Amino acid sequence: MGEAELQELIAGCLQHNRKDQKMLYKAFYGFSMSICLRYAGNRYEASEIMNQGFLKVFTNLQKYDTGRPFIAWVGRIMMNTSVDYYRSNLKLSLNDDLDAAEDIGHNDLPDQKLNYDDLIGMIQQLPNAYRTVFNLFAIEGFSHEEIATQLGISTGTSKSNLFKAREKLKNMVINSGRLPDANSGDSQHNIVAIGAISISMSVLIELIIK
Amino acid sequence: MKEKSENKLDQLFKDGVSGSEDHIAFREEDWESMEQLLDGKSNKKAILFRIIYYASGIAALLLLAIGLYLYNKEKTDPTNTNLQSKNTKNQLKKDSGQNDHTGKIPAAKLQPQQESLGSNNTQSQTPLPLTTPAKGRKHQYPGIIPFKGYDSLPMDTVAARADNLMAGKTIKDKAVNLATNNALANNKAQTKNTAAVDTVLDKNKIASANNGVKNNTVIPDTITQKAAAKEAKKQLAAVKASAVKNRPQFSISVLAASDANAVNSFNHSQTGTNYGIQFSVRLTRKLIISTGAAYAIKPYSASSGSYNSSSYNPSIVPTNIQANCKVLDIPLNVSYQLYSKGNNAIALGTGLSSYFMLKENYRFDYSAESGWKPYNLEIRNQNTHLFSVININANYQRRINSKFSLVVQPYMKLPVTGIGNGRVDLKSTGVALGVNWNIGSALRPK
Repeated sequence: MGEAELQELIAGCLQHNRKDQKMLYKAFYGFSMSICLRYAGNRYEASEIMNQGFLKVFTNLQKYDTGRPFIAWVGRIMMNTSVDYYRSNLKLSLNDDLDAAEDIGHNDLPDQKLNYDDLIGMIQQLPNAYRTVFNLFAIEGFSHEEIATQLGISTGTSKSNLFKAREKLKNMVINSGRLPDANSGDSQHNIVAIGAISISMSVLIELIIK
Repeated sequence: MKEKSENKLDQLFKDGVSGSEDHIAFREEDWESMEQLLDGKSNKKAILFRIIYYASGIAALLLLAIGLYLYNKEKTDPTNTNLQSKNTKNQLKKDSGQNDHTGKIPAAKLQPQQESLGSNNTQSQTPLPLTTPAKGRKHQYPGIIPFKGYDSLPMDTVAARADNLMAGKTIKDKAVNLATNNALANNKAQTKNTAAVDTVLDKNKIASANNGVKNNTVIPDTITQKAAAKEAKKQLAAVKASAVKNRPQFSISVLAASDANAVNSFNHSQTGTNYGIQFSVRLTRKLIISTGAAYAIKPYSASSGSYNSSSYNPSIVPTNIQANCKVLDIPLNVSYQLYSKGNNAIALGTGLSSYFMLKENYRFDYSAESGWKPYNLEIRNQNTHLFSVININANYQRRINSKFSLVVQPYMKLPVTGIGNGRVDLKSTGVALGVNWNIGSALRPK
């Protein structure tokens, strides 16, 4: 989208023009959803968070500083809305000091490429508190101190949550390599079982006919 | 090394989820819930605006009604005070102001009223008879009557309050005295009784005082109403001003219509066809100006009575005239959007059309007794009628996507002057169907 077009859309949204609002919504849908999906437990929650974020965008549009990139502003709102959404259960953490425990072997990570859906699925499986810290630290690039002030937790909690998140994610990544084999094994068993049943049935029918 | 290996996991996720916008398909149901959110948010505002709209509408109607009432009264009763005519004039002025705001009623409508008012004014300058109606003065100063009462009221209320205070005190005193002096139950009962009687009296007094106060409060109410109406007008003006800032939006419609053409009445109408292109500019959120060009084929039949041609005047009157005109119709319309929600929008419009008669074919049929053969007449590019047809239309648009919408436009075209060679009163009414392409302001240089 061109800058002029964007400014026009923003002007339209300031007039509460529903058509322009939809166009803006559509234009930033993918971007916003990609942020909210990372913080949310599932797609349903993600869209709920995103819509609340967009509501903030639409109602606070006059506060937007036109000198700065709009997309960054929207991204910031989406991130803050996501964090606020799970703020009530962010305190969940391990209380022991984990500085020593941070050393987990990461060299044994499989080299295979995981696609977007797999990765998002893994992140979404994390508990809210771990997921939020992991997002802020690993993907947004905040320091533990910044995260601690933003979430109202201690840096220790932030560190421990990150550690826990990484541990869980690592296991998921490692296991993801094995999962397809297990599945195919299951299906092979099924095929064998069905085959055996059908053979025995046909034998039985033959016997009856005789 | 440790840092690096830790970053490997983070990096895996960071790379994996970044640039993922394209993976996410837009879902319409998300927007629907977003709209609900937005509606919930703007509900309060919408209600406020609706109230303002209705209030201003009601105020306009009231002013109009009062103005008309007084105007009519003046008509029937020419011996009226100068004051009253001034009064109505003021009200009419207000009315015209109101109309300017809403733009619904053309100024032309108001003119005759003002003109006739002027004449009344001159009438009323003649010496006044002694039987000047007091009503006129009442209209001029509606506040006088209630305010008169105000002078006498405070005394009453003050007295009543004083009474109350006194009564309350005496009751208390009595009760205390009696309770302390006489320990007997009989006496206690007595005090209760007297106290009860006293309070009943008090209540009556309070009620009367309240009534007085109620009467009093009527005036401030009307005053606040007037203030509210003024406020509403101001806000309306502000809304309009903000809407004007909106950049004009352009759109092009391609329309095809079939309509019924008839002379004088629609009893013997014939079906014509129109193909046209319409260019619209949305000036504000509600106001749209449109123009364009339409090629119309208008067949109709007319009786000889309604066909008055100067060029063709045979001695025998034709029984029937069958005409087929090819017309280039250039309209200039203004429409006002009444309703717009979601994908649907309804607008009402009016304006003037210019007819350029490209080709006129007439066939004059004569009665069998006369023995005349039907006579054919063809005229090309002779008649033009500039701004001589009144357009009235309603416009329903249903949006298909962000750029295109379907248009259904019922319309009526009523000529002011005679149309074509025969100067006939050729009316058309029909429904146009088409597609509207919303260009937005994309044509605007960046």
